[in-house]
Amino acid sequence: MSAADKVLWYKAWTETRSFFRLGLTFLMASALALYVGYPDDYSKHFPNGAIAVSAEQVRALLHDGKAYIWLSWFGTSLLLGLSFLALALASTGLVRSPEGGASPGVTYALSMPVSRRKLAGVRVATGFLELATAAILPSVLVCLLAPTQGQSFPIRDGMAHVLLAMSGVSSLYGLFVFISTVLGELSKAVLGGAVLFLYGMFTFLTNGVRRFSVFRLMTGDTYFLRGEIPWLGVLACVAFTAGLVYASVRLVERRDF
Amino acid sequence: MSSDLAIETHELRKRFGAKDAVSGLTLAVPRGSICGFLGSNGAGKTTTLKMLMGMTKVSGGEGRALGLQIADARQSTEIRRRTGFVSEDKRFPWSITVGELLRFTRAFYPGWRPALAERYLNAFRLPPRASAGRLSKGLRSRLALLLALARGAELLLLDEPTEGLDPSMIEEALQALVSLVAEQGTTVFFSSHQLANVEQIADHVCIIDQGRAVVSDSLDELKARYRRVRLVFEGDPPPGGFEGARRDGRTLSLLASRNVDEIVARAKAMKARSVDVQPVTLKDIFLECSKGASS
Repeated sequence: MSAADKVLWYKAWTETRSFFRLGLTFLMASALALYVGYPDDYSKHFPNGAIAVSAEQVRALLHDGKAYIWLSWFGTSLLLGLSFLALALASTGLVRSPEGGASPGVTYALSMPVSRRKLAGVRVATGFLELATAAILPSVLVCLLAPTQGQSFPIRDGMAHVLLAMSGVSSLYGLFVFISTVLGELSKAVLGGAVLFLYGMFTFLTNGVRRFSVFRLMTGDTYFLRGEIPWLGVLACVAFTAGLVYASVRLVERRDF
Repeated sequence: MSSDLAIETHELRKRFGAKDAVSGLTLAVPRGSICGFLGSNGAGKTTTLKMLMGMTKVSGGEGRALGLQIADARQSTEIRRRTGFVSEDKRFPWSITVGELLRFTRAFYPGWRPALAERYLNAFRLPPRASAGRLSKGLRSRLALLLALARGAELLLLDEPTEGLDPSMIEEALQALVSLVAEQGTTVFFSSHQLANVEQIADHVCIIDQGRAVVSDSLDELKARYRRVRLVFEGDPPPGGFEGARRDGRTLSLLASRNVDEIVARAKAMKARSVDVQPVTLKDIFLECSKGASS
């Protein structure tokens, strides 16, 4: 990696680090809070079910700590925290259009002897790495702290859930990046609307065709309940993400600034 | 296309929707020159500079910078490697300090001149630890200039580089440009509305109006070509005697190019009491060219 490439990565980091630090801090705090307020009786929790899990299923599952940890952390806190972090990271924009109010420093970045593909690619990749870090570190903490409450959540299982959470949140990140690239500065309003829309869809899907919901994939219920990784869903998310990121980069390449 | 030229365009065009921002611009900027790029607001200066930097796509025609095609993505990257640029938009990200921005920029330019960067950091009184995005307008202009000057570039493309600077800083910046040309043979192509600044350092001038070059020549040649002619008559000046002349009582004033002798002879034939031929300023030429092109 050349010095210029390293600098490009570092620049992407400086432009996204505030949101990343905020998101990671929130998730680490949530991971710790899981054990600070650890309940003696699980039955009072999730009375209305959880994300992608019905109330009946919850009642059937909540007889041990592992299920509680899964529902609380992988099925709720990590899922929501990562989704909002993906939204925040995407809102910083790849390279915003001047018509939409070019973000400060865009012309400086474009005056560098670097192709737009590389410029945008590094920025997207930085976002993915930050999301992965924000998923892995607190999840490892959750697994490591489980014995403090007499529970066990193996790191191997934790990483399987991280894989599923990452594949799901990657597609959300790709979608947010695409919307942000297409709509420029308007993206903030539109992204907010997109979140509400997605949240509405998500709550709908929990009662409807939830087996196709990306949120369900992120909870990793098939892995927790049956020990199966839904590879088809993972691959679909990867393909969806790749398509959206490619389209976003192509848009940036073709745009006038 | 000539290797003696740093910038060469032929019928260069840029269309935004139904509007032509640049409509057939043909210009030639010799290597090692300081060329002032003048025009009214909306004349197409910024769009032209952005096309030269590969930020805006070319709609038609041809353009080369440092002998490389501006419309080719790979060659455009090479142009940017050898070019310093000050944009009209001088905002920087708030998340980066001045010092960090210098380190970022330095990594991309093998010819980066650290001593020069240090010198201008002090001369421009830029605080290295301050957020680049939170600098005042004047400081942002200074930082943008520093980043362009220290690149060791063969070509500088500057869009209103002295915008927001106080007179002493403008002088400092102009002297920096002149030094760079003298020491390194850098070509400077800069837009400005400050005609006095352009006249002070430029040896070439290109005036653009409605996306077309109306004048592109050396400043000495332009000044030699144009003359202000003042004619004073005994009574009212004869009507329709001189096209484009401005009347003030018994006096007619007009800008003449190449036809000074003819105008003087006609004035004498019309019994003008006095005929005064004076040298012109760049402002006279600019106003005349803008007016002429618009009408």
